[in-house]
Amino acid sequence: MRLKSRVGILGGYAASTMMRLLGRRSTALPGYVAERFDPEALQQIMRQRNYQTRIVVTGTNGKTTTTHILKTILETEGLKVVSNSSGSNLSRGILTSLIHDRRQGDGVVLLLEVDEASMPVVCKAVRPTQAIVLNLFRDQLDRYGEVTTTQSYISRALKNLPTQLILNADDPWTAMLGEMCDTDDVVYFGLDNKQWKALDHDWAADLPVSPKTGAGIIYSHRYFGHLGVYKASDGSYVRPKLDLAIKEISKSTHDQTEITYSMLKKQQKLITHLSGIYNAYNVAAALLTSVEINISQKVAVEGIEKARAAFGRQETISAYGIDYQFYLIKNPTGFNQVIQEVCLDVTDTRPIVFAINDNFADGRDVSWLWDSAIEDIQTTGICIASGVRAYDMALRLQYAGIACEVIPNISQAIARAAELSIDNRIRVLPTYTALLEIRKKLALKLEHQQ
Amino acid sequence: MKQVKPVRLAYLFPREMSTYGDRGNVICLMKRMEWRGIRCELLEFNPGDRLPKDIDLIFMGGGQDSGQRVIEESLKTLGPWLKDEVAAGTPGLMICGAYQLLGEYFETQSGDRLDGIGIFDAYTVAGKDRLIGNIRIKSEIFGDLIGFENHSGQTFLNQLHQALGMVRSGFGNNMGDSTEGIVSQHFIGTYLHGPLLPKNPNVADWLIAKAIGRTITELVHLPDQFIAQARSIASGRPQ
Repeated sequence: MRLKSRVGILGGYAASTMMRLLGRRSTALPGYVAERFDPEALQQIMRQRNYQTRIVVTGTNGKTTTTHILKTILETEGLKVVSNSSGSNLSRGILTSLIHDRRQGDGVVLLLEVDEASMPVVCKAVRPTQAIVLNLFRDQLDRYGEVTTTQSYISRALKNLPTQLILNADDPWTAMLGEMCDTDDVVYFGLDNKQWKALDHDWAADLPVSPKTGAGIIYSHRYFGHLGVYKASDGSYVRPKLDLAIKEISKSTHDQTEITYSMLKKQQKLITHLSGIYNAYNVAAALLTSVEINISQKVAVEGIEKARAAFGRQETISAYGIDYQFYLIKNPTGFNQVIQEVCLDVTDTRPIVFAINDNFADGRDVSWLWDSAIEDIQTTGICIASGVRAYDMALRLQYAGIACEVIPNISQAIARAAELSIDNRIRVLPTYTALLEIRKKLALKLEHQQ
Repeated sequence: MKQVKPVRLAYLFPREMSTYGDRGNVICLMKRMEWRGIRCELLEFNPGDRLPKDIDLIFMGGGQDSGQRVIEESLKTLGPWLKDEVAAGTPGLMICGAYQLLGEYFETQSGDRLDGIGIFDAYTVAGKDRLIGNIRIKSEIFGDLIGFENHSGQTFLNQLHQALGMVRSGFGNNMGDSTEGIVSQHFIGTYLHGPLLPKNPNVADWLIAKAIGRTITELVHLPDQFIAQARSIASGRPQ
């Protein structure tokens, strides 16, 4: 092993120990230190490690949730999981996780959530045995450019690797990766029920073209965004056959959803605490991957039932007698899914707080608010626009014919919503940094309560 | 004033050419007409459709490279019609990719020149850097305009005085001359996404006024209760 890598990784361990002594657990600093000494530190540390199964999860929406479901399944199977579940999904965050958690060998699985743009460097080091690609949408384009760019990061990362691909067939951008990576080792998941329809004002489609001829893609049915049943206008590309098809999604109780799926020609049911079509995709990806690495369906279904919402995704926090239900929003597709999930019931009286920040981690550009199906929102609960860009949100609501109060200070907005709530429940739709801000405040409140 | 027929608004290539909230411009135009009791009819023009007739107002947004390739052929057949409309004084708003396509030509990184429609007296050269961020410009016609730009092509005006405005912060047409956008007859070309119109409603009203053959002062005044704060906060954000 090269000297500078050894120094780098030792530096990482030292930083990790130091942070622990300071009583903090850093999600990226040790990896940052190690990479400063040696940019190839991730590759070097992977050379010392032995994991038989190495899974990466990428795509615009659902990475954290899918990684979480899969981790629960693997642990239910009795495996140990090394993962970056604290949420930092760039190479330095992944390196940090490996520095913190040195378990390896038989019975240890490496499971990583990976940022799309970091896929080339991470896959080069990790050489994944399985790669899940969930979907590709317009997201933080001010950082990455266009969807085609994001797609090329992933195809570049996986081409020439003996990785099995687990792809969303309903999203042509991800399904095409099978052809682009030139591999036959691909399995597909998707929905198979035309009762699910896109919102009337769902314009969040990034239209791809045939990977072979450049002909436009046409849809016979759209589930949401550019997900649906499609083919190229000249027939040169069609949606792949589904290895796992979701047939039915129905709410069985207020916090439980029953999913009927078909796999290996058999129709079966499972229960999950994660609701909505987008979570059905996440569940499908985790289930299909589990079966591909020889975990029984019985264990997989058991693991799925145990999994709960990940950080800020449909998460409920109770403080001072108020239930705050969080739905993270960060791009039009994610926003539309949240609208579909919790903003279509006109009898729902829970206030809605839209907390819109434009800090670096949110993306500076707030134009995505205009690509979201705000016109579809139906509610009797009062709407409050908040965050740095509260007035941009207010303007968007105004043009959709929805009245709102404007309270830029997020804590005050939340307090006002709690005051207006009839049943002590409120809906909070925050961007990433707005969510962090609210959680920090609520954590303080909870401490006072104890 | 009695309105005999509705304002016909043509939205060109809504699927392929609508990125970064560009559709918000159409929402804004339609709502501002609706709020004033001006009837409006939206016509979406897609590749392969017949040429639209009796159009009073035209909008086209920016697209991703893949989207622009899909509409290339169709736009060529639309070219002469668009030229006639501009000559007849029809107002229009062309954002980003649309602005580039309506110029004289686009020069790719390898030096090839792709013909444009030739409505705007300007040309675009592919650039290596992406010019991204919040942008503010000062326009003689409209005052301060606020938006968000995201482009790699750099556009050069043959006549600098045709610029929509001068950049106060951000990049604009290119990295050299501080101009932003172009105004030719009643057609505006600009790099300002954001979307442009909701945060700069006087541009929307100018387009509406031209579409119905009136002046802005003749339009019914709208309260626009959130606009002043939305503009002042957006102007204070980092690039």
